Amino acid sequence: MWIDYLVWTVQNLLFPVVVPVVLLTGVILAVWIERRGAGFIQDRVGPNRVTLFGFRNAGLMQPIADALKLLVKEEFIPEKADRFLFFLAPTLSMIPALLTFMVIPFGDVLVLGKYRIPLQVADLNVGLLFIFAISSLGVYGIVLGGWSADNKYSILGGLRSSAQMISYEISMGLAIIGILIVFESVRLNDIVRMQGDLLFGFLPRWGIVVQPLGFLLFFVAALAETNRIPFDLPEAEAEIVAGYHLEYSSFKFSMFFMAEYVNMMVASGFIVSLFLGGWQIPWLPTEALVAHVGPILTAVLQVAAFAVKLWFIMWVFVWVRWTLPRFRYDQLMGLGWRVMLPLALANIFVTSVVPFVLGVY
Amino acid sequence: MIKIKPVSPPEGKRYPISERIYLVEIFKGMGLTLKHLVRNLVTYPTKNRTVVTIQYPDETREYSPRFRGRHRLKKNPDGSLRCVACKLCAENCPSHCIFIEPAAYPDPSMGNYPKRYEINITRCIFCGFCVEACPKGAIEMTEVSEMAGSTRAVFDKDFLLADGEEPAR
Repeated sequence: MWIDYLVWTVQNLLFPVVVPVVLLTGVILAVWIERRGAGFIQDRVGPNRVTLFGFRNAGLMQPIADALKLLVKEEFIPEKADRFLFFLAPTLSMIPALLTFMVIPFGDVLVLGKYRIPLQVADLNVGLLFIFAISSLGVYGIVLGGWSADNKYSILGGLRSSAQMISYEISMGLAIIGILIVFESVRLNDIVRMQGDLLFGFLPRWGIVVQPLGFLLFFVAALAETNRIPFDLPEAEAEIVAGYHLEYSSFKFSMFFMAEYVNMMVASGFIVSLFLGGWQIPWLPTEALVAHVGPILTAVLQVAAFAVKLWFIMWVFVWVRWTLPRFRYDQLMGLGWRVMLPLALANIFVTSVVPFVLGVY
Repeated sequence: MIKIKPVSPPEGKRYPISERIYLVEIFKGMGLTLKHLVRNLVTYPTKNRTVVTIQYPDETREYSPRFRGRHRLKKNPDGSLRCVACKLCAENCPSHCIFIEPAAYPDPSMGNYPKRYEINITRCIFCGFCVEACPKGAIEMTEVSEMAGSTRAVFDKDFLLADGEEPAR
C-alpha cells in the first residue's frame, strides 16, 4: 500500500530532515529575539535596518545578513593550531546540539486510522538518558576548540568550560531524579503525557508544580550548560576576549554561534518537556481534543503549544542574560558545589520520603 | 530620586537572608528589565517614545540654533555679494583654511569683491571666528552637519553661495 510507504517516509525521512532545519531556522528567530529584546531592555532599538525586497521586516533579516557575511569572510587558521582538532571542534559542538532534540516530543502520537505517528524523530524508551549522554559530548567541542587553537585565552575558556559543565551536569542530573521519581519513566513522551493529569481537580500536574525546586535547579544548571550569562565564563569577553572561539573565523565561528543557540533551544525544549507540560494544552487532554477537532488539528495545536512554551523559555534565557552580570569563577564553583548540589540532594530526599509519609504508595 | 543601597553590610553584620539567597534580588532585577522592556515596547509605535535611539538617516538630532555647521555666503537684497574681500575672516582663521582672491568691480564706487572665495573644509575646525570677524555679516554658519564625501572637498564661492539646499534661517 502506498500509504504505508508515505507514513514510513514521514517518520523516517521527513522528520529527521525537517526538525534540524527548523532548529537551524529557529536560530534566526532566537538571534532576533536576543538582539531586539536586548535593545528594548536597554532603552534602545536594536538592529532594524536590513531589508528583504525593500521591506524592513523589523530586522528579522539581520541574522541572515550576518550569517552571509560570516560565510564570505576570510577563514583564518593559526599557524600552530592542531588543524585536525581545529576543524573537528565546531562540528563536535554542533552535532550533539542537533542530536539531542531528536528525542524531544513536540506533539502527542498522531493516530490516523491504523497508523500511529509519534511526533518526534526518535521515540526512544531511554529518551532522558539519551539526552544526558549526548549533551555531555557538547563539552568536547568547546574544550577541543579552545585547546587546538594554540592561544592562551582559548585554552582558558576551554578549561573553564570543562570544569563548569562537569560541575553543573551533576546538579542537572540530580535535579532530574525528582522528576523521574514523580513520573516513573525515562521516556519523554510518557513524562509529558502524565503532565496532562490534574492535581486536586484543577491544577495541571506539570513538573514545575510537583517539583518547583527541581525546576529552579534545572533551569540554573541549563543556563550553565548552555554557557549563557550569568554563567558564560568560557567566553567571558571582558576577561579572556572570546574564550574558546577566539581564533575561529568565518563559517567555523558561525557553527559555534549556531550551536550555542541550538543548545539553548534544546535546553528550552527539555525544560518544557519535563517541567512545563511539553505539548500539553492545559485542561485539554489529547482525547478530548481529538474528539472535538479531529486528529490533524489536535497535532497542529499541540505543536503550537509546544512552540509557544519553548519560545517563552528562550525569552527567559534572553531576559536573564540582559539582567544579570557574570559570575566570578570561584562564585560559580561555590554555587555549583555548595548550593546546587546539596539542594538537589535535599530535593531527591524530600521527593522520595514525602510520598511514604503521606502514605501515597 | 534614585535610592542607593550600601554595597557592604553594616559593621559586624551579614547581609539579610533575603539578599544572601540571591533569588529575591534576581527577581527584582528581572522585574526592572521587564518594566523597561514593556514600557519601551508600548511607547515605541507612539509619538513619545522612551527608547533613546535617534535612528539617524530617518531622524536627526535637534540642533541648537547656534550650532556651527557648514559655512554659507550671504547676498544683499539686490543679489550682489555682501563680501567685500577684506580678508578679515582669512586673517582670523586659526586653521588658515580660507583663501580669498580679491578683485575690483568695474565701477570704482562699488569697491572690491572676492573673485575666489574658498574654504578648505577638511581643515576647518568650525570655530566660527570668521563669522565673528566679518564686518559685513557676509558669512554665516548653517545647521548642515552632513559634509561627508569621497574627495577632499574645498568649498568654492558658487557652492558657498548656493541657497538651494539650505535656506537662510
